[in-house]
Amino acid sequence: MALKVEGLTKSFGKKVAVDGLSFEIVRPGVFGLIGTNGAGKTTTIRMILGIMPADSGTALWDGKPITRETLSFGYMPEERGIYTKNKVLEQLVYFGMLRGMNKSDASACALRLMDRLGVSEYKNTLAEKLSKGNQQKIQLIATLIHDPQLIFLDEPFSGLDPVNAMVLKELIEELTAKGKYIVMSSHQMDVVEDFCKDIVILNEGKTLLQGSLRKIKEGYGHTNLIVSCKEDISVLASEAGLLLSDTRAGEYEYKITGDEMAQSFLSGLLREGIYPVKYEIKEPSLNEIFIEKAGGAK
Amino acid sequence: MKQIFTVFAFTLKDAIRKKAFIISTAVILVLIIGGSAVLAVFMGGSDESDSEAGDSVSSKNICYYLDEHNILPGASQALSVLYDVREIAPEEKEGIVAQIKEDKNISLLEVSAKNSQPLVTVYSKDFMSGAGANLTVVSQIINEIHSMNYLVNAGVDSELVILSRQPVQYETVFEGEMNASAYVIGVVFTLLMFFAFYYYGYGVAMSVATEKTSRVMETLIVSAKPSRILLGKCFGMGVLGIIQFALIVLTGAACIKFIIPSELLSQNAEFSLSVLNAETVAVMFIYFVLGYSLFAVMNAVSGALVSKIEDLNSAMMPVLLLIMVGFYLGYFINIISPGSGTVRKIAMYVPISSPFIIPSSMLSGSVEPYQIVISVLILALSVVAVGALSVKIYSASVLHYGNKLKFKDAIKMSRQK
Repeated sequence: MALKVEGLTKSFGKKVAVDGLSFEIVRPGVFGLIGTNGAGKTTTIRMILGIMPADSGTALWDGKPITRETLSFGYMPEERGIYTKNKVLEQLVYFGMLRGMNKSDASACALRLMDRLGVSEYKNTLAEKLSKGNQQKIQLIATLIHDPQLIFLDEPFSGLDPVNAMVLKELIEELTAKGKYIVMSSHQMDVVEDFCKDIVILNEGKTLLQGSLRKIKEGYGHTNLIVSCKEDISVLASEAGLLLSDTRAGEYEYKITGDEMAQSFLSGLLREGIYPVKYEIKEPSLNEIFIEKAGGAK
Repeated sequence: MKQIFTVFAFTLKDAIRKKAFIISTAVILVLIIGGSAVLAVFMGGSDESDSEAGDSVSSKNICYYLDEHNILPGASQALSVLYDVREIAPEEKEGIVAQIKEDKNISLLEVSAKNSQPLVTVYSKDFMSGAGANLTVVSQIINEIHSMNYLVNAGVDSELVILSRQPVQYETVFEGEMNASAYVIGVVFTLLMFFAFYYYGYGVAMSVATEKTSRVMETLIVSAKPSRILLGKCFGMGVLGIIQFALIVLTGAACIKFIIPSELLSQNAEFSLSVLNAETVAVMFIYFVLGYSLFAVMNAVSGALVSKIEDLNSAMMPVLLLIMVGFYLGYFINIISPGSGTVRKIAMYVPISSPFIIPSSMLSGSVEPYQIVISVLILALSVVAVGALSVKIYSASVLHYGNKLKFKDAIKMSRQK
C-alpha cells in the first residue's frame, strides 16, 4: 500500500495555494506535512481526499484515485467541528454510520475509543458542555471510529494541554504500531520531530524540502553544542569562536561548524580544569531547519 | 441510499427535539383546541340557558307582547315564527320585567304611540340575549306588519299587499365545480403551502449553515457525498413538515368530532370537505412534496453560501422572493381573480407558482387533467434540474469560509469541478 501524490496544484484566483506538490508514502507511520499558516497544508489534504478539486495533479492510493467509496480514510480537520447541541455518543454513532458501520458496531467502537481517551463519562453529555480538549478528543474519535487505513490529522496537537497531548501521542504510537498510514499536518516542529519519519516542508504553496527526516538532518551535520557546567565558560567559548544561541538552567547552547570545533573546545575546557556535566553535540532541530528554509525562501 | 437514510434520520430526530419545533407545534395545537372550545362555549349552546346567545334563535325563547291599544294588529302572530309569543295585560308588565333581569331567554315587546307613530320598546336582559340580540329581524317583521296595516287601512287589497311583499326569487347556477368549500380549502391550502415552503425551507438552510459554521461539515463531507447529505436533510425536514401538518389535521378532526357541537356545523351546511377525495388529496400531496423539494434544495444552497449564521437571512432572501412571487401569483389568480387569462395559463406551468395554483384550481374544477400532468412533469423536471445544480453549488461552496459567497461566484466555483 502506498499514497502517491503527483503534481498537485491549486489556485484561488491569482494566488497559487499549492504548486506542483509531489510526495510518496510507501510505509506505515507518520508523514509530516509542515508549513507556516497559509502554506497550503489544509488545501493539500482536501485535494488528496477529493473534497476539493485540484487544478492539476493526482493523488492515488495503491494506484487508484482516493474516494470515500474506495478507501477507508479518516480526517480530523484543523478547525474542530462537532454538533454542540447533541449528545456525544449519539453523534459519534451518526459519524460511524455515515462511514458504513451499523448502529451497534458504531456504538461499541465509539465507547471503546472513549474509554481509551478517558472521556467515556461524557457519553450522554451535550458536546457544548465539554472542555475544548475533550471536544478535540471527540473529534479524534469521530475520525478513527471506522478504523481507517489512511488517517489525516490536521494540527492535532493545537489547543491540547500537556496531559492530553501525551494521551494523543500514545494513541498515535498505537496506530503506527498497527500499521496505519498517518499524514500529520502541523507547524509545531517538536511534535513532528517526535513522530515523523518523512516530511514535506511547504512554504506559500511551494515545496521547500522533502524526504526522510533523518537524512535531512544528517545532511546538515552536527551544528549544535550543548554544554552544562558550574563554571562561567563564556570567555573560553568566545575565544574558540562558538556562537551562543541559547541558555537555559545552567546549560549553554552554541552553534558550531562541525565536530572538530566541538572537540577542540572540549580540550580547552579540560585544560582549564573545567569538567562539564553535560557535553552534547547535536544535529539541527527541525525547527531550525524550517526557519532557515522558510526564512530563506522569503 | 443508506447514507441518505442515516442523514435523514439524524436530521429528523434532531429537528423534532428542537425547542422551536416543540413550542410551535404545541402553540398551534393549543390554538386549535382552544379555538374549538371557544366556539363550543359561545356559539354551540351547550345548555338551555345559553341557547339564545347571539343571533341564534330558538323556539324555546319566550317573548311577551304588550299592545294595549292594538296599534300593531297581527304583529304578535308574525313574531311567532321567531318566539313563543305570549300577549300580556299592562298590569303584568312589572313582573315580567323583573323576570327578564334574571332570565336571558325572556324578552318583552311593548307597543305604544309616539308622535302618532308606533313605538316598540324592547326589554331583554342584555344586548346579547332575547329580542335585544335579534333586533334587526324583529324590526323587519314589525315594519312589514306596520306598512301592510297602513296600506290595508288605506283601502289596498290585503292579498295585493302580501303579493307585493313577496321577494324576487333568485336561482344560481354554477357551470363549474367551484363552490364555497373548494374556495375556502383552496385558500387554506395555498396559505399552508406558503408557510410550509418558507418554514421548512428555512429549517434546511439553517441546518446546513449551522453545520458549516460549526465546521461539522468538514467531518461530514469526507464521510458522505454532498448530494446525499443534501438529500437526507431535505427529506428529513420535509417529513418533519408532514408530521407537523398531520398533527394539526388530526387535532382539527378530533376537535370537529369531539369538541365543536354538531349543530354548529350543521348551521353551515354549505361547507363540506367532500371536495377532498383521494384524487384531489393525492394531487395536493404531490404538489406539496415537489414544491417543497424545489425550494428546499435552493435553501440548502443559501445555507452553504454563508460562513456566519447572521448572514443567513440575507442569503435566503432571493429564495424567499421566489416563494413570494409564486404565492402571490397563485393568490391573485385563484383567490382574488379566478379566471382563465393568459397569466394564469402561463403561471400554472411555471414551477415556482404551479404549486400555489394547480391544487386550488383543481378543487374548483377549473383545470383539465392534462394540464395537471404537464404541470407536474415540468415541476418534477425542475426539481431534478435545480437539485442537480444545487448539489454542485453546495459541494463547491460548503467548504468555503470567509465572506458570504455571491451566487455567481458559487456557480463559478461549481464549474471548476
